Amino acid sequence: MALSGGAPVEVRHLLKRFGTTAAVDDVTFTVGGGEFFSLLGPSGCGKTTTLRVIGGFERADAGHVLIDGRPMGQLPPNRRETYMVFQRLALFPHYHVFDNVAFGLRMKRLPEVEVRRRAREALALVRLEGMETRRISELSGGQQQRVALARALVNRPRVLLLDEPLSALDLKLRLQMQEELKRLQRELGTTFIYVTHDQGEAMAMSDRVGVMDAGRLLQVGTPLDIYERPQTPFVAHFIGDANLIQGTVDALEPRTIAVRAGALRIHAHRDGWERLGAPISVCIRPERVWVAAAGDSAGGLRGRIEDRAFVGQAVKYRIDVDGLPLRASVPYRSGTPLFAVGETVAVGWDAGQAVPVPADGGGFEHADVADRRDLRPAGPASA
Amino acid sequence: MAEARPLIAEARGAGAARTALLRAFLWIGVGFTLLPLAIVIVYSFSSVAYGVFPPPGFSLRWYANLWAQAAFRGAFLRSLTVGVVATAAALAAGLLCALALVRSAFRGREMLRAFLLSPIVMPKIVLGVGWFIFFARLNMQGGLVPLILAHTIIVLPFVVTILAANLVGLDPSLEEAAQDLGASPAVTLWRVVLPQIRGGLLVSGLLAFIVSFDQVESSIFLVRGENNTLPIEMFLYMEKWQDPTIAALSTLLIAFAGALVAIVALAARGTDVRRLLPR
Repeated sequence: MALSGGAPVEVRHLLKRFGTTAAVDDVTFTVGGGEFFSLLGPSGCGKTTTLRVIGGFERADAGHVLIDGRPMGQLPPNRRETYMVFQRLALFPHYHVFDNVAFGLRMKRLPEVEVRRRAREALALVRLEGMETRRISELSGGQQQRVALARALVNRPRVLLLDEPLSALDLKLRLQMQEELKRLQRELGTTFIYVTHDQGEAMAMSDRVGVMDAGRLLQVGTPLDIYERPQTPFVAHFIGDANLIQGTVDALEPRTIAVRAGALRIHAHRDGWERLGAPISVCIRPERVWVAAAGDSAGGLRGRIEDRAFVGQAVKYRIDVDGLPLRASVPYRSGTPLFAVGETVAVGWDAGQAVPVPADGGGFEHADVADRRDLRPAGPASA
Repeated sequence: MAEARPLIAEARGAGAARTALLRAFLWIGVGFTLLPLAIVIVYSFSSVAYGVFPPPGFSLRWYANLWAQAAFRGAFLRSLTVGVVATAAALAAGLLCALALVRSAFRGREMLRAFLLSPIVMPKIVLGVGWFIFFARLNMQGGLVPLILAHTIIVLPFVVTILAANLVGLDPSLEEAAQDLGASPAVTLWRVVLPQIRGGLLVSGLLAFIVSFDQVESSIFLVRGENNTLPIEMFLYMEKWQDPTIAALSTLLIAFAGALVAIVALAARGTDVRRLLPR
């Protein structure tokens, strides 16, 4: 199949109200041509509405959508270059597989020879050769998923919109389809805008991810950026697991800051925007927390094991540190003894792995994150 | 445990009795519906002109007599024309009404729904008088046009109800998908929506046709001697004669109705008829 050449998509100050609530509240982002971009957020955060505005299914109350630099205005879906893969797939039950896939080409009034050739190509692309005359109801969930993809891809879209297309599949099939989607996107060079509430899915497939909550786009960045430098407590919680410790900045050191949180004084990475005495959150990933026997001279804080769960590759502890609940996920190796519930242990983390997060959600600009990463100390545990 | 057994047996006995009772009611109902029809059919083959049952002998003379009555033939063709045209008009208008009721939210939607269904509860005689005056003012008395318009309104509620119920069960993203793939709204309606509601169209069309074909109370105000519909012609004939000719005609109409239902049932195969039931 010929490369379609993904078109860049620009969304500017998009606003969409349903009644009095803003489903999409001043959302702005840019997707590069051929990029795999995900909109990630809990249900009701406005991600699907944003996608539907891009596709022309909803009218924005304010703002613009530009595709390949051209403003879309009120163009209906049938006159946009975008194609959508729907959450409920929306395959036509009265057509068999081939006619479903050929639908878009026939709407373009292409010669039937061309229709046949391209529909066959698209079916081969999603590995459904030989299924042309099957009825939709005879297909498995994964096969229906592939038909829905082929039906959109056969039109050589420059932008493909995907609305949680894998949510109906079981875990194993979902992982397999994730790889498949990524492969198709790479091969075709189409711009993918993918909506999901599954952070693992977004992280695994996307070049960049936009995290949304309550109609607002909170942060845009590569999966690594978002994981390493969450800009709001919400993003920190939504992407992966996080301990968020609230406190005030107590001291500014060249590479770290000290934060006073209740009775504790902890250290975190210094990004540069922190102000002495200002409220702040510190995000520590459970997998970055180490746990040691209390007797060891490793330093750190003293805590009591409250709960323990063994999940195979790791042991998850809930630890009470002077009233502060802390979760730790310690990689498990055969033979390592586990700490018992009630046991007093030493816990700590590398200050460079503890990330400062603005307490109010707006504190630093995303653009300089990449530069700042180099500043992170690689020193030993200093908590 | 010792007590439980008789209790279960008793419950089982009560269950069996209930089933038997229900079955009896069913057959009484079926008999009550079919018996008069059976009597009409037998009576139509009577050899004598007076009403006696069972008939003393059998003949086809009343069918021959029926064939000789040109008035019935004309009335049948008129009823057929009115029924077909009114059904087609009601299907077209009803589809658009149902789409509006189901697919869009607008002020006064519930009022519109009630208004569209109101011809069902309105006494047909009252409607007939109203139309009589209305068409008289327009100088449109007689002819088939007033009849067709009136019948369209009378059958519209059936079409709207069935199609709306059918459309509620239809995933709106199918229409969005069609549009996304380049289909205009009209093409979407034709290639995606209509095939999905084929069953509803067939069943509501059948119902509309039968209601129109059967309609007397308001039609009587809109016909003149020369354009009687079949039920009115039958009524007039019965006022003059009591021979089994009407039974012969009724027998043919029963066969006609049966054939229509069979054709629709055949054509509606594979459609989800359960969705046609009101919510």
